[in-house]
Formats: sequence, C-alpha cells, structure tokens
Amino acid sequence: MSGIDYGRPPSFDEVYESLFPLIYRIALRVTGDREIAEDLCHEAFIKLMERASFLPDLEQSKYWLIRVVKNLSLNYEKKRKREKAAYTKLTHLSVGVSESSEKKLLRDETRSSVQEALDALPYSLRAPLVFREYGGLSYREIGSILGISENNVKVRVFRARERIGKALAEGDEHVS
Amino acid sequence: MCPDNGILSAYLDGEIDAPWNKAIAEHLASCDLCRAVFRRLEETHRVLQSDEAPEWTEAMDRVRLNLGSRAAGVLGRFPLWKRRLPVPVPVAALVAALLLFLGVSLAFTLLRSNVGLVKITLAPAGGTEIQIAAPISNLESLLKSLGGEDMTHEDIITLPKNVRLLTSGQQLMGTEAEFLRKKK
Repeated sequence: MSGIDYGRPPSFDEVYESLFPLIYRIALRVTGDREIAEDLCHEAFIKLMERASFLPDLEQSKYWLIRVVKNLSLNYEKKRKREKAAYTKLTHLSVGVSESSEKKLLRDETRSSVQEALDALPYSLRAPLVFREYGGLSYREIGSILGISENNVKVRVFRARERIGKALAEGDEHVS
Repeated sequence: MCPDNGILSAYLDGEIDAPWNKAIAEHLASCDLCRAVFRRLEETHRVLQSDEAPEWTEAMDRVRLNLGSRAAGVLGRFPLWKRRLPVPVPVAALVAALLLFLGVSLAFTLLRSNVGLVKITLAPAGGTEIQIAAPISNLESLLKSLGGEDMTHEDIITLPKNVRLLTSGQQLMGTEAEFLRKKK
C-alpha cells in the first residue's frame, strides 16, 4: 500500500493493485478455501467498480472491501453449514459418498497449520481475529463491520487467540 | 489486582489508551501470572503474523480477467466527471454566489429592456421598422415614441402572428397582426 498519493482519490487500478493481496488473504483465512476466496474477491471488486466514484482514499477502500468480504463470507459460511449438515445426514445413510482418504490427504497437505487452526474456530471468533491480524483494523472498525460493540470485539479476539494458541501447541505436540 | 485477559489481548493490539497502558505495563513487570498469559498471546500473534501470505498473483490475474468488459470502462483512471475534486469550501461558496449574481442580473436585464424581443431597423427611405417577437404590454407608448413630432416617414411595426388585438378601431390589426401607421 505504498507509493500512493494519499492526497487524491486513487484510481481503480491503484486500489486493485494495492489491496488485492490483502483482501485475498483475508478472504482465504476466513473461508479456508482458495476457490471461494477468489470468488469473494471477484464479487468484492465488482461491487467496488460499481461504486467507482466513491473512493475517497485507500484506507477507506480497504475498510469498504473488508466489509463486503465479511458479508459475502458470512453468506458462504451459512451455505457451508447447510451443506455440511446435509452431507453428514447423507453419510449416515450411505458410506459410498464419504470423501476418499487420498483426496482428504491431498487437501490437508495444502493447508497451513494456521489455516487449520483458524478453520476450527467458529465464524464469530475467526472473522474478528482475521480482520485484526491480517486487515489491521481497529476494534472500533471491526465492531462496526460485525455490528457488535468494541468490548465484544476485545473478548472475541482474545478468545480466538486463546483457542488458536492451544490448537497450535497441540499440533506441535503431535508432531514431536 | 490482575487485569482481565481480554484487556491483555487489547493491550497487545495497542487498543488501551494512556494512562491505562502504562499501568498494564507496570503490572506485567511485576506479575508472573499475567506475564505468562501475555507471552502466550504474543506468541500466537507472532505465529499468525509469520504465517506466509498465500500465493495471490495467479488469482489476481484471473479475477482481473474475469472482470472483463465491466472493467474496461473503469480500469485505469476515472473520467473527470466521475472524480471527486477537492475544492475548498470558501472557493465553492464564492463561485456559487457569483453564478447566482450573474443569473439574477441577466434575468433582471432581460425583463427590464425586452432585449431580444424587439428588433428595430432603419428603412432606407428614412422610416423605422420594428419587429416584435412577443406581445408587449404598452403598445400605445411605443407608437408615441416613434418619430415624435416628425411624421414625414412611414413606420412599420410587425407583431407576432399569434397576437390577438382588440378589434376596436383598426380591424386590420386584429386579422393580419400588422399595424401600419401612415404619414398623416
């Protein structure tokens, strides 16, 4: 996000070049899926294009894009929960539809331990932690995006860190 | 008294304002229990931060490509009329006041002088031809102003075709919308 003149509104190209890596990282860490993260970025930047004249500065654009990603990722999360429930129900009926162990192994190998620890968190803890750690947003901004108080953000970020810390420590124990 | 663990996490994020941040720093220096909690939080924060950023260049190119034609008109610089130009408030107010003043002045001048509504030409024979594009309220005073006492020329006043005059006196004026005043 350097090399931009903050005294004038940035062009779409400047916003895209500067913020895509950050927005993609946030989308990926929240959803845990590269394909979905890419789709989310696509949607978010289309929405940004539609509001092209409303780009006061890069910081505001970042905040705006993260807000869009939050809405989109929340929709994805709900959909994933529904599908997971349906999948679980189906696996009880038939063993034939379960994910093959080979495929699961390949999928897991591409994931970092941090991503796995994040995936284990509920969305309500994962999202504020990711917005804080990778988006660099303040508690006030996160509260505004999630529609919760600053104090609630403080509690959620702490609980998320606590759980992540434990999960990573357990992972290390298993490895050693 | 030990602070809430959530406060230690907020302290790590720089979300605790002075003078409370100083008080927490002092407490951490003296409390082993809180220091251990804080170190765990710090370690988690460090691990999250050191987690390698995902490879994004291919995704970035694909998304840019997918934006396709929708992006064609937007990628690059925005057209001037879509940009927000930062203009100081006093300058904007001055320009607005100037435009308002010019508008009012122009309207006032038009109303007072009938500019553009009456065309006056001097005929080669010495008479005056007046073409009126819109009805005027006081035709009699206009007639009196023509020629004054010198009635040696022929003056023609052409009125708009849609003017309806009262039929008292000159019937011709009402039907052909043309008044001809001849030399007495």
